[in-house]
Amino acid sequence: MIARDVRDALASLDGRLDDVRRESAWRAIDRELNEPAGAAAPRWRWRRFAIPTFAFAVVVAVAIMWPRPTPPALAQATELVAEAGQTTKLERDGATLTLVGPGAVSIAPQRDGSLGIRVARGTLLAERTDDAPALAIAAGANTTVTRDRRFAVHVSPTTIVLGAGAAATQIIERFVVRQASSVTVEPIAPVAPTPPAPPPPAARETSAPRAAPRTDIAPVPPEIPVEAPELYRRAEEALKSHDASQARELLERLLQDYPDHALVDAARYDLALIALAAGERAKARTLIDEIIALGHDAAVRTAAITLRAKLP
Amino acid sequence: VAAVTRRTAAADQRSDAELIGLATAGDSGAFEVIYRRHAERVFGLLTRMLGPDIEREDLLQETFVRLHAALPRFRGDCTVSTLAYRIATRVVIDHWRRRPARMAPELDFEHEIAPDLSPAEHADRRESIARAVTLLNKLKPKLRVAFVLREVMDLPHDEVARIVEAHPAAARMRVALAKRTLAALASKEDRR
Repeated sequence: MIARDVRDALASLDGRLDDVRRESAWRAIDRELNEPAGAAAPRWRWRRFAIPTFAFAVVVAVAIMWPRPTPPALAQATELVAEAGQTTKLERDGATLTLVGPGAVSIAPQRDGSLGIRVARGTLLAERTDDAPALAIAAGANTTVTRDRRFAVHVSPTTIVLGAGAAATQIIERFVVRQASSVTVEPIAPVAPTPPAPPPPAARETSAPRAAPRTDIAPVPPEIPVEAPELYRRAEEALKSHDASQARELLERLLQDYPDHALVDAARYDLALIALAAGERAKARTLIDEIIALGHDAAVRTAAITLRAKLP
Repeated sequence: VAAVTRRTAAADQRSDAELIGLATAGDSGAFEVIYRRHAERVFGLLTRMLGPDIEREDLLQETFVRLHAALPRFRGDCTVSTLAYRIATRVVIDHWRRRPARMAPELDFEHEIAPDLSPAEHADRRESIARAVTLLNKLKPKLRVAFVLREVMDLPHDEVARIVEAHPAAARMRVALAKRTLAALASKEDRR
């Protein structure tokens, strides 16, 4: 019924094309058919811009996705470990590394072509030939890049010393030969007994390789000062590893070198605990009394007062 | 002049196939004869599809421009009138797709309703046509085209299938579906 209504309504339309509309329509058709090809199809004008745009997009996409040369993979790190009193030797990339224990060294080539050497502990003598890559030696927070033929590093919880040439010889003399006469390191050149005129300390970072290793004695470079927080951190590590004597040494050095530092109270408190653990009650009491009398850290003072009350 | 031209075109005894050959070869006079022979029927189809929409003349022009472009590919597998209807339905569907669905067509009843009706009858006719166009616009384009060709233009199912380029069974199904949808839409409006 509904479909019939719609059909009847639409069928009732006249739908005839009168002469005026027929002629105007034909004129428009004739005009459009006789227009130039470009003007007759204006809707295709977008192709003029679309094709270059598409080509540009393709070029950009290819440029983005083009595989780039990946840097060559670096060789894996090598660990060099020496027990106390032992000597471990390793030759790599033209460099000869001699580690006197107790010590641990990690060796890995760097992206800049140098040979990276991180000394965690121990005394290391590094010797290299002229065509060997530079050595990037890291000790503590410092990294030294050197092209010297001989370079020595000594790293202990309290000391970091490094030097090249004659200074390297001095380091080996000081930390290996004198302290452990049983340990000998073959590559070390003999040390002259009396230097005529000691040259200035060897530069830590030099670029020009030297002609031959020096055998004259250079003054030992000064120890790198270790800040109070670093001392305290090392003392904490020593306590964690149950090395009470090492911790005590570090804390006492902190008290001596930095008497006004904020960590002094904490250091005294830890020393008191170490003394108590060692049965040295009198020493512990003295330290606690010092904290109570001189301390600035309220939390440490409170803890010290509590601890003092427990002591007889 | 127009009347003379129209009579001349109508009196042209050349067949559609012959005229197509000439028009394809570049004879604009031959295509004008084709236009004058089929414009009336195409315009009628457009009127039934769209109602008294003011854009019918533009769509008529577009239909014949596309027909002219399609002549070189015409292989004679149907009549020129079927081809013109086929192109006209595509033009209408494109027109519906271009126009947003919510935009009501602008209707012009000046030429489409017989002038001898009384004002009341004229108003009734306008209302029924407007309602029919509104309902028809709610159908999907393919259903709309099949319904108009079969039910309003009264073309046989086979011819409808040729125009919409579908299987006759599919064309028949579209018509039936259009009828059911119209009934559902009308009852829904009545309930309101």
